[in-house]
Amino acid sequence: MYKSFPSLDKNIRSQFLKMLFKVSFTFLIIVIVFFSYVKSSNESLKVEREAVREKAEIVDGLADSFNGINFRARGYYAFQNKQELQLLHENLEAFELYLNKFGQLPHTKEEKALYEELLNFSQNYKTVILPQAISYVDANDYEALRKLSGDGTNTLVNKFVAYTNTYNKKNEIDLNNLFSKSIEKAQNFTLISLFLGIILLFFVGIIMRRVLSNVIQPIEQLTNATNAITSGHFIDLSSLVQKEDELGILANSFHKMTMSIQEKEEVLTTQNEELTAQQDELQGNQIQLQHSLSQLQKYNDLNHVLTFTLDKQQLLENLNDYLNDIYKFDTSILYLLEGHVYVSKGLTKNSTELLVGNLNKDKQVRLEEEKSFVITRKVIPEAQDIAQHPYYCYDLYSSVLNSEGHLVAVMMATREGFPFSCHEIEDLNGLMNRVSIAFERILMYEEVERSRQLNQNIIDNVNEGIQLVSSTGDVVLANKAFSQIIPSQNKFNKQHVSQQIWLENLQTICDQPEDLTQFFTKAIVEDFIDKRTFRYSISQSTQVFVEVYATSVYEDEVKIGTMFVHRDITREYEVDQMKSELVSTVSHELRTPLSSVLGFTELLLTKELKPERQTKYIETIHKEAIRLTNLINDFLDLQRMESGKQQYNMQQLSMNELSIEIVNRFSHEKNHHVHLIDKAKYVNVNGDSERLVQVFINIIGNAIKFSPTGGDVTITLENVNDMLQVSVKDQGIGIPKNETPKLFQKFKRIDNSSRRQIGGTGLGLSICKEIIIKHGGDIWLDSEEGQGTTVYFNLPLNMKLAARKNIDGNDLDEVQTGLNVMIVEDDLSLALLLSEELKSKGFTVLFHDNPRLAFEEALQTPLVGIVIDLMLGDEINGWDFVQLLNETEQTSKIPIIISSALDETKENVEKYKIEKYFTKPYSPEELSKILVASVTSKVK
Amino acid sequence: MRKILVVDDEEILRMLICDTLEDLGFEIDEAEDGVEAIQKLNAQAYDLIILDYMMPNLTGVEVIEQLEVDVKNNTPILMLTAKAQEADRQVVLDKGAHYFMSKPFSPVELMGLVEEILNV
Repeated sequence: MYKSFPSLDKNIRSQFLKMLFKVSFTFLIIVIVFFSYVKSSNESLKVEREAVREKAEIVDGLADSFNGINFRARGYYAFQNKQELQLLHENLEAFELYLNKFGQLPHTKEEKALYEELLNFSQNYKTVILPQAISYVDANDYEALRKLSGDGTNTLVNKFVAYTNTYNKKNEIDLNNLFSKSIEKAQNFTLISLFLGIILLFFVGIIMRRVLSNVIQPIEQLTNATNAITSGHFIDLSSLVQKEDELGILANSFHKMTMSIQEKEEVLTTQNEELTAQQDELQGNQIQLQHSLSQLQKYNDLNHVLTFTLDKQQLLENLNDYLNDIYKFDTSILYLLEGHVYVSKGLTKNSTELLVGNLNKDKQVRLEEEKSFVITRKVIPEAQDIAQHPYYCYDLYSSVLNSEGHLVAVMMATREGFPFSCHEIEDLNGLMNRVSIAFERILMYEEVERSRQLNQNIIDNVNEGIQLVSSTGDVVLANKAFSQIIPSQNKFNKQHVSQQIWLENLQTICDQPEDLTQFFTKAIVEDFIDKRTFRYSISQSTQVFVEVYATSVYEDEVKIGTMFVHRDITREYEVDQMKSELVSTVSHELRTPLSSVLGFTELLLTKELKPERQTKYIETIHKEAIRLTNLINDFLDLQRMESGKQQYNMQQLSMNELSIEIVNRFSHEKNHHVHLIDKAKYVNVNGDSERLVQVFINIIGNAIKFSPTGGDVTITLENVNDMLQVSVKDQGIGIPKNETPKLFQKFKRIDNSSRRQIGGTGLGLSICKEIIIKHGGDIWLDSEEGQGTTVYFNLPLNMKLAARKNIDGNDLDEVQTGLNVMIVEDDLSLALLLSEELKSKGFTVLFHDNPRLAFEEALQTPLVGIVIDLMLGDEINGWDFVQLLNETEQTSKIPIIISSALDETKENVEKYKIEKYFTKPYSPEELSKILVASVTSKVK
Repeated sequence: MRKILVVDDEEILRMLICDTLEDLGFEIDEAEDGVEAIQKLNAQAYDLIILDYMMPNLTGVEVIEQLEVDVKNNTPILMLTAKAQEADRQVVLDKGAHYFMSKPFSPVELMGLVEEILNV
């Protein structure tokens, strides 16, 4: 298509080279010719100059040698010197030589004649003159000589000299001529060179011009054309195209290219227009697609909700949004019958409630039968709002039915002005079928969830620790109780704990790790129908005993796991332990008195014994029999209490009366003295006197038993924190601190030698505690080993009675209440009478039946009076006690009132400054009057 | 005269045993607990020890365990115990008692057993 190269004779390069070659060649020839001419000119000038110079030399030599001849000849002639003659000969020879040379040179006529003459002369001189001269010399003929030398010779010499001079002048002129000739020639050469240079420049100029016109211009044209095409114009390149060189070809190609570009552009423009049209169409499609896509997306979202949600409300909301989006309802309600759940659009809550409530049975039936129906109604003018013309309103009802065809949910929707098409209703029905499935799924899920929750609640609230283990040994389920029984398993309380982990943990804390592992491993692996039981204990902070039973769990008659039910039997175990301990104790405790009874009876029967010994034996038997009876009674009491069969006969009781009764009961103890200190203002309680006596007897019995060396047992009544507090203090062996909490537990007793000696069932305090707690009180004790024990119990006061006597006949101000009066009296019933009276007047009564203890108390407690019975028993006489009080500084100021069955003895009354002497019987009121008067006078 | 040591924490029972054995013509010594018993047994030789099992501080078995080997080997030990079951009996015999009698016991039987032990 394209000519890659122009033919050889037409391409620019060869043209250019050819031209360059021609110019260079011509120029070279001219230069060579010029230089050869210059050279030959110079050569000829040089030869000419040489010839002239040589001729001049020869002429000079000729002249010199000629002069020399003459000169020597004259010297010889004059001096007849032979040496001169010699030199004459030499000059003559030189002359002949030069003459010879001269003869060879080209001559002018004049020179030819001269040469002839000179040649003659030399011949003549040599052959004639010189020998003649020599002979004359020899002959001394000077005359002849003069003549000879003058004869012709002189003329020749002169002639020759003239010639040489002429010749030298001529020669100089010739040389000058030659020189000026050569300068002239040199000037000519310079001119010619200049001329040649101008010619060369001219050629170069021509070449440049051609280059310009042939190369640069077309290139510029092409550049312009390219620029023009780039900017969208066309330039005619036909002039260039016609050229046959490279540029012509280039232009040709370029031209073709532009032509093709032009063509293509036209095609492209057409295509572009087509494409634009297509694009517009596509855009239209795309918008449509996007719309469909968003619809699809919405449907998809709804589908997702329908498939996955478990929340009714969410389902309704999503469904409502979707329906409104598709059908453009004005108002709508979606109502789920189950659980009364609804959502609405364009309605207030009240209207919705109303509409939902109005959904009557008939409509429900219709909905069940028809699925969807539309009610068309004309909008009443009042409801038309801004609409100019009456229009219609379309109420669409659609139902969601469950698989049994019952109504589950209802959709009610209204569209104003736009009826529902068959297509729309069909779509809606289809959708409602899907919704029905979704609702059913949710309801089913809720049902399952409810029962699951119920199961979970049951499992979690069971006291037994339930652990469901899969057949691979993983814990699938464990309830709260399980981790409560075994707290260390709590950290695994997640689903699927592997067997290795939980069983290992259980092993480490279990006291029977091997048996336990064997039991669990077997139960997990083996398929068994019966129940298997195992007992183990774990030692953590405390020891816990657990009974676990295992049952296989089946699904479709295949064992899928094992259920372990752990039951904390620590309490049962402990009770069991305690009971067996008790049996052991009881066995011992029963056998010991029985041994005595049997042994001594046998001795009585088999041995001959003295009467004293018999009596002693019988007494012993009696005592031991009583011991046995007590023991049996305690057991029976405990049994009754444990089984809750104990009946309490609650009555109003005065604890001070009861206490006095108790003190009386123990008045016969030999080594122990039981006292009562009654500091309580209020003593009335509700209680079963028989049981409370049992408490007293137990506690005091213990006090006596555990103070084997004897001593005082002091009962104190006090009011503490609105309770009646009773304390029983002994001076016995005491109880170690760490043992005290155990004492009230059933079957516990302190095991040490001194205690063992005392014996007992270990039930007494348990029985007491049981009784006191039934009375609403509490029991505790305080003890120090070796220092004795104090047992306390308190009972709630009967406040109605407590408040009683304080009101009537109260002679003391409230401020003064709490004043202590001590009564020292061995007649307990009288003491009771007096203290009742004094308490009613607002005194606090401290009751004593032992002067020694009374004195000790008086030293510690400030008293406003002390009432003393003179017959106080063996220890200290009444008057001695009075004296003691008088003599002791701390107690000397206390007013003393004597209460005695004896008649007043004036002497002692004065001696001990007795405030008042009462002779029994006297009215307790009199006593109180005296004390009140004493107190008030002191206050004043 | 041969000596018997009666060890029991119950005074009445010590009296019963002493009175039972008085006619046999032995010297009878008493100890009211294990500690006293060990002291006495280490101090002098006895021909028979009648030992109660259930005692405070030291049980009868513990007393046996703490006895010097010589005493243990050379002195017959009769254990009297309120623990009457066969298992208890075996335990007691295993621990080193030679004879066993359960409470309540018959004085006549006790007398017979002591006579037998001491070959009266």
